[in-house]
Amino acid sequence: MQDPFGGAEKKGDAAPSKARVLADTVNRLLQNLVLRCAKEEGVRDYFHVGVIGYGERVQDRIQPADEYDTGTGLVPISHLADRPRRMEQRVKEVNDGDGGTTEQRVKTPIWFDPQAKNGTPMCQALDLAAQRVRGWINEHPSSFPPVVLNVTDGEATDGDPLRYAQQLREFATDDGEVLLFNVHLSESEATPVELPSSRAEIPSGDEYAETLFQMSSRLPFSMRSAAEQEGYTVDLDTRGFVFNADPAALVAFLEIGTRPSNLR
Amino acid sequence: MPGPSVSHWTCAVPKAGSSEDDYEDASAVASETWPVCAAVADGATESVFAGDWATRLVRGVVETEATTADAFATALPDWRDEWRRGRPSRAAERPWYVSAKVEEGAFATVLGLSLHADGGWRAVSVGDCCLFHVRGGEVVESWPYAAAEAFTNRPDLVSSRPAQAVPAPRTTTGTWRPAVAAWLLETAPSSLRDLSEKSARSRIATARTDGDLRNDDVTLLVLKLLPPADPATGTAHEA
Repeated sequence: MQDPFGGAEKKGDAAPSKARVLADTVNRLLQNLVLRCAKEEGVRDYFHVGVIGYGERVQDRIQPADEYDTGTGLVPISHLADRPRRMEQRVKEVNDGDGGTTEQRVKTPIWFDPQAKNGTPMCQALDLAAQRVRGWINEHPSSFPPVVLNVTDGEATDGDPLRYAQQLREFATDDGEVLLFNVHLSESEATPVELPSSRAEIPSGDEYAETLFQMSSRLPFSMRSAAEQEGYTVDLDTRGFVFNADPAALVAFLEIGTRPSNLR
Repeated sequence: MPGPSVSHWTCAVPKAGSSEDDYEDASAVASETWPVCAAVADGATESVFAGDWATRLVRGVVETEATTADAFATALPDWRDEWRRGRPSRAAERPWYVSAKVEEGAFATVLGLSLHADGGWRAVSVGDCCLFHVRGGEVVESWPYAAAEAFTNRPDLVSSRPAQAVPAPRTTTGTWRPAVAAWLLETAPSSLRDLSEKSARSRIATARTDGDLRNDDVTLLVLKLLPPADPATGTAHEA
């Protein structure tokens, strides 16, 4: 899910607007997921993906072609891979093989652009996500449970999101409950936080961060194990919550097979 | 020196729900002459052309007997060159995600084994392929891992990219045709009590013929301790 934040980007700003940061975050997450599934012959559908925007109104942001329309609002990841809105040239730092880095221009897929917003109807968005999740679970009752990533600045304007988060997390497959992970992109200067295990790790005085922490699922065993292999310190209370940090780890912990540790 | 007498079979099964084409492991055996070489490799799911790279690695290990760390490191650049030449450069025709993954290279784990005519073996490994040395129905050794908990989804991998450093290969050695002491330990050491020089010669000859004993000089010195002589009878009893 993506909350588009307020305000379109102003040209000439030194720092990217929150709307831009959010769009970049969502595009990068999708790119990351696609690349994890990409093989020489195409993209393997290890994931089904949906995007719900909750800026001006709450709606599905991916419109599947008829042949991909599963009726759940989610599409196989290969469908998304082949239909970015456009490709942009971006500069990326890569290893030069000599211990240093060098800049390389790479084609980057763009699915979503920054959007203006009008409020943050997070409760409605969580409710729509619950509908999508329920539909998908009906068709895939034995799969790994759906993962909902809520990317937001944290302030719900349409009620108490904690209740909606709890409802969403009550849906389950045979393999476990729905996982709700939150990515809080705040204007706060506080130190970024990844995968906290207690409220004490959340920047004090940020009530939105605290709410999002409470909304976040604890990492299931398979993801804790993957996190430990990536060098994170985790325990039974570790939550899928990221504050002002790259959320790539949250999808990196979804196991699909042997993974080169130096990639992404 | 007689040629090796080796039989082998391979069981190759793709992931459940995947087609045979999606199989990304590889294996190779060369058993016509000494040393007998064998290798297995596991292409990393999250890299492209991983099956091809795994195949190139096992072929390379077997063809060059690269079962020492030095031999492996020396041969790897050639395997990478050949593998890259075998990938036609059609970047413009590829979807963005294939181009990006090709840049990252292909990855695989690999384990190579060579059995030598003198009764020794050696193995080289990068990653989590596992060698089981079984003799007489017993696992003598599992290498490099002895416990299931040691396996993760982030094993060391050999990259196809020339610039990518390779984790130092692990190596080990052993004997597949044991020296006499090991042979005796495995073949009922209690029978030593009844062994005579003549029967020892006979058993050693048979064991060599059967390939159970390394063809090496054998010295079997048997000491029998006798109890003190019975002062009454002046005779001793074997212990």
